[in-house]
Amino acid sequence: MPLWPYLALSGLLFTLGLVGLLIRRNAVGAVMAFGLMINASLLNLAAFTRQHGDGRGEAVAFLVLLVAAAEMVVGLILAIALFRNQKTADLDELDRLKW
Amino acid sequence: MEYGEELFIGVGKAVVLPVAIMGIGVPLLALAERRIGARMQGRLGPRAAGPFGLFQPLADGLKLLSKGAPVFSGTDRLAYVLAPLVGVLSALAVFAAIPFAGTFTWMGHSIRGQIADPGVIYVLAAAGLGVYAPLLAGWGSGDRLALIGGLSGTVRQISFLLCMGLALLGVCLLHGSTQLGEIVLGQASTFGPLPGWNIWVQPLGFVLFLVGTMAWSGASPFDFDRADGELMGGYRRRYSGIFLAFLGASRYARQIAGAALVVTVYGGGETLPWRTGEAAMDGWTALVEGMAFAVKTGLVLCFFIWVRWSLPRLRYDQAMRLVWRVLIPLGLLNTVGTGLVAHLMN
Amino acid sequence: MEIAIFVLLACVCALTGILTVVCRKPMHSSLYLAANSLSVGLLCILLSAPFLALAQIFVCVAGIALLSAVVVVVLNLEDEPRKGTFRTLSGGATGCIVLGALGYFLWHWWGASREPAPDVGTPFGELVFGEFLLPVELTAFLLLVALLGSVLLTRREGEKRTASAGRSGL
Repeated sequence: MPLWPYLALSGLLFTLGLVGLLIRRNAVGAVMAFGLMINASLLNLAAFTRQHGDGRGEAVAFLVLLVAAAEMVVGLILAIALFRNQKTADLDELDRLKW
Repeated sequence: MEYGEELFIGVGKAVVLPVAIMGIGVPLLALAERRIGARMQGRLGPRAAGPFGLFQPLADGLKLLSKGAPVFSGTDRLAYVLAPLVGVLSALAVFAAIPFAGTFTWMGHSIRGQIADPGVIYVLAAAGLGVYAPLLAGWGSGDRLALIGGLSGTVRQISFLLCMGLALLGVCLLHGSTQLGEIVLGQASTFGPLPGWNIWVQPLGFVLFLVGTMAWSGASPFDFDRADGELMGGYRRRYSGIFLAFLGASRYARQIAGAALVVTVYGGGETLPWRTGEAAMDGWTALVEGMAFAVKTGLVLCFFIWVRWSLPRLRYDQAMRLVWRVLIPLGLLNTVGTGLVAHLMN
Repeated sequence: MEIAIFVLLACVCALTGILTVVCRKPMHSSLYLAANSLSVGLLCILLSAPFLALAQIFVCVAGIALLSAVVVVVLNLEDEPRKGTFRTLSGGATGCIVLGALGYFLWHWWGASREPAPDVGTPFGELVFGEFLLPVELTAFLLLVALLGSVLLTRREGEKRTASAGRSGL
């Protein structure tokens, strides 16, 4: 089976995640869109691991997965802290530093 | 032609097994729980429906099916409908990795008594998929008590899955493989007069895994998330009809899966107690092995029922303190100790 | 056979990806994210990376997506409001530009599709404990920091000392 469908799918997922991260007003929704981007990069790394036959791609993908998971957890916790401060998780309300 | 036959056998196994579990195992367990519990309480339990009350679960199932679904008044219909399905599918998915018999030949085909052997990590991942069920049930019901039950149920499942995973790590370190088939084969030996099961080699791990399994599957005394007294039924409050049947069935299926895992990893799986080595078997030996497996699983389930009707329920914070302050540190200790011993013995 | 499975999983993946971004109820969004992660994990199995697939199901489906669902429940988040025209159009334009760029790279830098290699070389365990030992240990340290940070960030103001002081039991 050729490799380009996997790459196309991962590109599509990455774009969807990026658009979601830009569009969504909810903090948790933004973190979830970020999770889509992580899935896309994992798929990409796995596809190239298969193509080169080098197991190191899988190891790197595993590390990326762990670090991205930690990042998403901290993002969700920040959403909770944000909610406690301003009673809403809306990212558009974060404008106290604007003049 | 070869590929077609293998595919047919594989699909046959994958279809027969869930049907057998849901159609025979779950009702039998439900009935056994009621009968054994009744005897422990000095009464008789359901006896009227069929010989030994064997048709009682069927009657209960028909009654539940005949109740239509009520008008939905909760928060989230998708979550409400998805919760029982996720619970049942996850519990059945765990069975895909458990060996029921060795490799045997039947009518010229060599069949493994196992659907596939993806290993211990798959078992934990499949069980991990089911942690959504209480949360979705509680959230979808739109009821405060259901929500509390749902959240606590999900946290219970995750925490005790961690405990189970740590116990399994010790066994995998000893056998050098995460595949359940190889773990079972590694127990087909003898330690003097005793069968070579992992329960003697990993006693702490066995206790951790047993407690973890009891709590993960939601058997008492760890069923605080669906308690009638404290939470008015917990996350199953707003469920009735076929969804409630599936929620209950998922709990029983998890108990059976947990007991099967205990038997496979610590009790020698399907191997008869003093059988050593692996020989090519014929169909009858495989059947005997399958029955041995069923008997052993049944004994572990009887232990679960015995504990259920003896001990009072743990509160949520007591259970969390137990797992995070006692069981998981012991599990880490077990893993490190087993690793050290395995390294020194090589 | 592999193509059939790939087409099925890719459709599920793309559909759940779109729904994660577009859906207005945050609980449904996290469920679609879980389904997306699950389908990406199954695609990794097709790509002969089984450990990565199982680790993804563990971490992303039964971990991260579940945590986002729990956060939705705990914060009792409301539905996303309808986006304004400017936001939708600019998001769509960005998406088209990025997608076009990625498609261009895919088209030009990837001539003929090469056959996939038959094997994945060094086993995963040997790599993780051999060549990649230092990154794994650093990642473990990072996870510990994230764990501690999460616990500290979610403490309420008056709760700093009383959490473990007066409880009876174990």
